[in-house]
Amino acid sequence: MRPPAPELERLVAAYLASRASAEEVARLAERLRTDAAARDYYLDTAEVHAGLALDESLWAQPAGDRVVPMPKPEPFARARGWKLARLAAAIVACLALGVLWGVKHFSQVARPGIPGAGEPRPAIAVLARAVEAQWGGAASNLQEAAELRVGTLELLRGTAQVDFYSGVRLVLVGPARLEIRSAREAHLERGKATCEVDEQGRGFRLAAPGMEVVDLGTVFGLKALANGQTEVHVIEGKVAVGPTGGRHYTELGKSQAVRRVDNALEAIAFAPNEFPRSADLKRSADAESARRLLAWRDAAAALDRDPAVLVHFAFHEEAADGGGVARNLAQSAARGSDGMVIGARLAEGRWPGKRALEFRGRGDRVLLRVPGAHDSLTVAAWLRVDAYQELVTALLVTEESRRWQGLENGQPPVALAELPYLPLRWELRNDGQLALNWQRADRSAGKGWHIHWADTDLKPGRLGTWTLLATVVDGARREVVHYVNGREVGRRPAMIESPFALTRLCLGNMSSTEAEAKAGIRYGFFGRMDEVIVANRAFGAGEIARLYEIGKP
Amino acid sequence: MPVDDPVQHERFMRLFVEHEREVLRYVLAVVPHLPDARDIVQETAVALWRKMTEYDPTRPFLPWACRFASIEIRRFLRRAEQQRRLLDEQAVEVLLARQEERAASLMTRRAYLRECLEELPPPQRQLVRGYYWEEQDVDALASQTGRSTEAVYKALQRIRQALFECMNRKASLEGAST
Repeated sequence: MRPPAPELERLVAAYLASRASAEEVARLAERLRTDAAARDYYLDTAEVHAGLALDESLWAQPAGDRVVPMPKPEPFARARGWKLARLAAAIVACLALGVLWGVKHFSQVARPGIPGAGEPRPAIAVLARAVEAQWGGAASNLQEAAELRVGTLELLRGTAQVDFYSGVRLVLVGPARLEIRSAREAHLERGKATCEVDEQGRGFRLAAPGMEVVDLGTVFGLKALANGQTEVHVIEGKVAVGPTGGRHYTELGKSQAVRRVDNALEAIAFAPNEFPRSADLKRSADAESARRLLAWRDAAAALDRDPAVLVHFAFHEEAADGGGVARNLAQSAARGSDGMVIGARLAEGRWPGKRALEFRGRGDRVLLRVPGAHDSLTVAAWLRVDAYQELVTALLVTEESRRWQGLENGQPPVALAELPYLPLRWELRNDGQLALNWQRADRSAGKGWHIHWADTDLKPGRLGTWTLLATVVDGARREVVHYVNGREVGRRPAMIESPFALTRLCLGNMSSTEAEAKAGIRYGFFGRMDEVIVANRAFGAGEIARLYEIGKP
Repeated sequence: MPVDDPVQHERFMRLFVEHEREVLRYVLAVVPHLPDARDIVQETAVALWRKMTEYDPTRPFLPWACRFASIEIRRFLRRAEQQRRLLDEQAVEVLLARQEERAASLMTRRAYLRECLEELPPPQRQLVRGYYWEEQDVDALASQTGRSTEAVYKALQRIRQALFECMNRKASLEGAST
């Protein structure tokens, strides 16, 4: 390849990085149309670009005699192999729906766990509680209820409780670094941990630099200091303490404490108060929850005063229980915008004392009417997805009249005195893709929907935690932006053909057509919703981030 | 008409899965942003599925699929026209025509990408890895390496160029020895 002219090199570089301005793209196009050598230069490097982007095996690392693909760093983890059966099911179901978005929804779902584990391994513990915890390393977005596998936890600050399925409970005080080695062994590289072991967990081995403690049915504290010193304090029962890799253990009883100095153990003052117990952590967690609930109430009341907020459900009233009414708290709420709750029941929400609406798929849903036509929209929901039962879960949809009137093909819908509207669907796919799609005005081209999706972390193995999903349609900028837990996860150009008339909204479900019902296709949400917001203004990234900060459990 | 026969349906799935990466490669050559290229391939999958009954199984699948992909590329370009961040249809047409002419030689060279990547000096390899594998954008890479954004995407382009030259060299040596 002859070296290209600097101008061509710069244009191609900018274009392949998706950074070229309109004027640069025009200049590049002109060169490519008229100059054969420029075309070859472009294609040569575009071919390398495609190879680097698509061939994951390039990044493989040798591991013994096998080649193991490197785990892709979060949050971008994306296994790209397609599974035949899922592809088949997806295409059939999607064409039945008239909606198909995101090639990646066919891809294999990444297994959750502490990042660093190269291949999926069984979960051996759960993050039972985290108080003001901030995590470092690849697991920085670790949340309560996350399942843990072999790997390292880096707790930068706060306190966390890890429950091993083998019957051991570790309370970790940050800053700390803990390597989970197996169901019966962990290594505290630095920081403090309290270990509570029941009968089943006897024999659990907790190591620290230079020292190993074998639990003999007890509660003890272990401290690994930055200077390499380690301390053990036996709070209840007894433990066996020995040097790493050694054969001789010393037994320590209740209220005894030792420090390892130069491979020997020396007695030190017993300091049980340095080691928080799981019951202490529960009390702190409850107090933190109560503070958060109060702060959220103030913020929610302010949100209700925003004239752009059309719908605000918080589901904390008794009346919302199955068959009841969910009150729309927005002060500018229109008539009919209270939600008619079908099937869903009240259950515990994000905090103790806060309620949520629990959906169990099937027919469960909330129906409401929202008048007017809107140029921009924000939809947000605090929800906990418990499972995906279907390929597509309807979060909030406007049902086309054919669908909600249960008509078969050929039957004309009943004419209604309401704004004509194009169906809009805010939905979640079973591999965690979030989308806001709306029907095209002209369906004659055979492609029925404008599709705007983003990949999220709500993969099947990562469900069961409270999550804020938000999607903003900005009519002025003509774009759709998706957010998860206050952070942007995708931005797409929006093909807006007319203002959005929401009219008949359905929360947590969508009626199946005859054909879909016959094929067993349903759209029910399976989990809890704690708060739902619909506004006719595009919320900015800062507002969404605040919704998350104030609302996080 | 879409495929109703489950056997034919299964065959389509197999064919498409087998060739999906090549179709994506074809699209990426002119629409370099991976999520956009994936969208186009997805639309292509639906279009192919609808026309599957017209496919002649005695002919190779990939060129047939690429024809559909080129239609979807044009549709995508038309939709994205307002933003003027993608090449126009005419330029894409001449590029795709040239790409088809060169298909065989590209295949030969491609096999050497791994070796050439391994020969890159570590800082260059790290940059490529950050961009393509870790999916960091050029702004993030610029702040990490203390360079300007433009310097980063130019550096990426020079690396691509160097990789291409290396692949070319290895392919011609191999050609000479066989």
